[in-house]
Amino acid sequence: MYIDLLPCITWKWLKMNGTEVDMPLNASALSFALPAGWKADETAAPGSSIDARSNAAIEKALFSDEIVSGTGPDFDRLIKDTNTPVYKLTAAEGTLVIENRYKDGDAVLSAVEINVPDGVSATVIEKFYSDEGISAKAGFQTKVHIGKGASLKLIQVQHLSDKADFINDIGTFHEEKGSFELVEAIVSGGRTYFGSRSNMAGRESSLKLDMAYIVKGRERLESNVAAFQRGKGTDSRIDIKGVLKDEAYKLTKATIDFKTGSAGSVGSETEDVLMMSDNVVNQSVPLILCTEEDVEGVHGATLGKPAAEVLTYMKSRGLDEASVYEMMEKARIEALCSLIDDEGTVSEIRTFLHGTSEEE
Amino acid sequence: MAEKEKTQVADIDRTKYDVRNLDEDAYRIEGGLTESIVKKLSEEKDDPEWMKEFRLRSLKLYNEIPVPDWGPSIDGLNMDNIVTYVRPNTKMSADWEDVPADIKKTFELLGIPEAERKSLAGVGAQYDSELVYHNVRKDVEEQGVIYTDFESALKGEYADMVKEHFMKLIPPTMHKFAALHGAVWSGGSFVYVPKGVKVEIPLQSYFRLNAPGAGQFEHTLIIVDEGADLHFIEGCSAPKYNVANLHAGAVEIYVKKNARCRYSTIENWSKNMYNLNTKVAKVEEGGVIEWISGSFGSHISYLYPTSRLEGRGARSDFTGIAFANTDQELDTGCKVIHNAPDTSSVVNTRSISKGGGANIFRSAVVVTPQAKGSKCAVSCTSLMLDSESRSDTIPAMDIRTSECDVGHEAKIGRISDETVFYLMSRGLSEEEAKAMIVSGFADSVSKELPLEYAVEMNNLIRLEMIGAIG
Amino acid sequence: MPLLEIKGLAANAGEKPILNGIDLSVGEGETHVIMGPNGAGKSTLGFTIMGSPEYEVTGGSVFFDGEDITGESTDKIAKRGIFLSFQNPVEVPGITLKSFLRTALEQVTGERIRMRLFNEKLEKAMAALDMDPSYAARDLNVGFSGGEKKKAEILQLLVLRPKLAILDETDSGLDVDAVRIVSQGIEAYKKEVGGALMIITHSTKILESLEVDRTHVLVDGKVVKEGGRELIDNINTNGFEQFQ
Repeated sequence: MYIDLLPCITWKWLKMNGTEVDMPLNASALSFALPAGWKADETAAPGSSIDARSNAAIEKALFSDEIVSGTGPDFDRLIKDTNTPVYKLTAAEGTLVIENRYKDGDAVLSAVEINVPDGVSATVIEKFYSDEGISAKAGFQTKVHIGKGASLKLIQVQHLSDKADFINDIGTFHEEKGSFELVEAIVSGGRTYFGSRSNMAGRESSLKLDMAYIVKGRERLESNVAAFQRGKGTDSRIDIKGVLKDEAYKLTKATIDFKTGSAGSVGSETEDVLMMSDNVVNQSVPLILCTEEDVEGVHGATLGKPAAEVLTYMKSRGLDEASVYEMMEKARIEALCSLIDDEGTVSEIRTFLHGTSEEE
Repeated sequence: MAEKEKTQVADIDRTKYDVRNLDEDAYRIEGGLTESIVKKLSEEKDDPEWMKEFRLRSLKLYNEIPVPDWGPSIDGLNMDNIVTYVRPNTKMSADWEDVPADIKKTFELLGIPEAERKSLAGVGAQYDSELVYHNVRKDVEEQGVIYTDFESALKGEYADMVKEHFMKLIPPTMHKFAALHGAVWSGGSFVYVPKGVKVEIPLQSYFRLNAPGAGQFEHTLIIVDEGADLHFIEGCSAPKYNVANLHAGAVEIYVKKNARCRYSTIENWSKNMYNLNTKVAKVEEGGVIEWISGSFGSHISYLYPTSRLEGRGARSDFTGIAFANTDQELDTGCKVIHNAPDTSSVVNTRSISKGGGANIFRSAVVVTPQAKGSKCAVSCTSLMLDSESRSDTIPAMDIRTSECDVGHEAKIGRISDETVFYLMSRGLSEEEAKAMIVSGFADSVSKELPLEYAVEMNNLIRLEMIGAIG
Repeated sequence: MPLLEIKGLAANAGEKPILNGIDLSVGEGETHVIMGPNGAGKSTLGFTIMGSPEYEVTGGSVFFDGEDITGESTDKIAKRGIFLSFQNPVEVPGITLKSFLRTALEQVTGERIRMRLFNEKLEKAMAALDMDPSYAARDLNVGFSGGEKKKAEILQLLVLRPKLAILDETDSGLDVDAVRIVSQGIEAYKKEVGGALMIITHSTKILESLEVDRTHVLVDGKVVKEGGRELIDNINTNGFEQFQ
């Protein structure tokens, strides 16, 4: 399976263009409580006929209003080939929580497709948890169709064993003024492949993506995030903050793609990575692709150690270096908590970080 | 109320640059590339044996390595049509008077003698594949600086030095067109600046393609020894032909301890050219490489000057501008490899896309575990002048030590209506206003160039923007 | 025949009407003051005369030297001899004040100007405004303080010598010394060029040493009151409420 294709490929020796992954997974049922007004339907997966290695094919599909997810069409095919059912959810106001607890020996795959009707604002919280030390493989796909003036806030929290491999795949389609807000907290995991692509077809549709990660030990995180801005006056903001420790490996691909006709659109992407150890590998490739004159796009990346003056300042207030680092590390995930309006989830994150649910 | 006037931006008038001589070349090898052609070329050039073997080995690699699949399409390039070696009717000449009249006319239009008068140190002007005009000024010679054509260097006093360095930074295994270059390279320059010598005035080489279907594969090898200082200027312009033309030159620069080399290029290839040029500099302790790169011409360009920072405190500065107009796809950028402690690099690029042209900024910054204390700042800004054009930014970073500081910023946007209105309110026409804003945008590069080059670059921008030199 | 004649001018910003039928005329060499509360359309009037694409003329006309210039492109209007000093001058990176001003002068006059002659003019004008000569070599307005930007506008006025100068809040945000220097610049323009002035302002400091021929009060995109210098004193004492 070929996933996380860079939306415009570059030199092969960099090994950033895409990843061949072999992860045998089996269909798995989901259980969740539907909030009032929500509807759920189990359907067969449609699969995909798109070439996972072809950006031209993906672009063509996006222009045909298809949802092409961040990891890509091969993951759709895996879902179909394993007869994994797709839960079709029709959203209403309110919050749906889907909690996944992966167990030792799991090799499971699930998929949901959320339809947010015109004008509806909904929240979905997806939790990917496991006990420490267990060995598991898992895949999860979330596709979202956002209606006119509708909005979906998707909160994902990942706290998996360092022996758990996980493919987390998101794809959205935006109608006019449809907004998608993603809060992505990656606290731990063995090998994580993350992908999210937004097909911003509707005028004035928007994407706000806030991601924070801690990658430590020998964990690996690879992300492919893309905003495909087709409609007039679309707005994308991608902010990624991360911490790399020990022998961690991280690859971030983040793309803003302004298509002809997206006049008046804006896009920004930032990545701020703290490298806490000398043995980490930190790869980033932030793309801006553009065929429209009337747009504004920016990206910025800062990669390295905390600035010496910051360290000095904090040390002068009595903190030793280790605690400064620890504070900075946790602050990155903590910052996401302010975006999560669900107390239970926030206290779970705090427990993962600090061992206690109290704010420190 | 009257219809608001629309700017008419005429296509560039290239007559100044597109003068070509009748194809009177005495000798040409038939199109297409086979072992026998490469052997014949080697014999013609009276290569040393090692070079002949090197060429044949490179040819084998050329046939094995696939065409790159990540950049602009080079399908329009038919290698069978590229005549690999064209020798002009003239022999090496050190005196302007001896240069044939038609060749002179072409050069004069390009301003070579003028530049010469403006006290540039030496001219190694490559006409097709041979040096036709070569003159190193006495004072530079007296400093012990070697500036000679590559063929002479291969056999002369510095033959061992050439052999030791030739295609070591750009091995034929690097990519398909490096292999091609290894097989059929012809012409070019060899520069050696001895220890501690500061060359006060820039060395300059013009080369251009002539003859339909001719490829150009010149090799430039520059060695700046310890503590020495050199500014080398390469300027290119070529007449226009219907047959696809290829430029696959190679530039290898060795910057020794505490030395400095500035390499400036203004490329203005005709718009049917495939410019697949490779440039690599290896910088030792305390050394500095400065790339100034202006890309205006060519149909397709693949151009990424590479800085290998191999010694403590080595530095690389890259300043680039690319202007892509109709039917141009310029895939340009740079690579910086930080492979020693306390190295630093600055990358500052600007691009302008107009009339359906495409700019792709592509870069790679690699910081290896031994590059502790290194710093890198990349900044690229793209200007879109219409919605038929394209501008892509593809910067990759691979950082493997925490003891470093890497920053990257990119911006894409358009000329602000407010600025155009402000300038128009002072009497500038819309196209004048836009040309002025674009010139200002390109200032980061032009201010790094010697005056006459800065003027030429501004003229090129005006040509692209308005269609006339003002 | 007045130099500038505005007849029933109406203009929109997007969908929103800003000017609602303005009638106003300025004779050669006259000094007019446009006053009015915030949002009255004062700046829009200046921008619309100058042909800004930000505003759509929905009615009426602007005549200059007897010719209808409504809808003409901004540079042509400038070449006719109208100068608009911006409240917030735009920064243009990479282009020096000097090279810009020389280009603009050549465009407006339609003649090449010798560098030496231009340098003399520029130096003289900069000295009159007490401007540091090093500003000539700096990028146009880039990193200039508010006061320096305004001075650079007046500098352009002195070099370009238009028939009519529209000064949009040129005195706002300036300290006393800067206001004095700008005022001197405006006086120099009156004296040397003898051009007409249309001064858009809501303060009166800048007007103290100028002879004002006519004052127009703008409210909601209309001229609601006209008078001589005495109208300025009236507004100073009683404010705009009386006209609203």
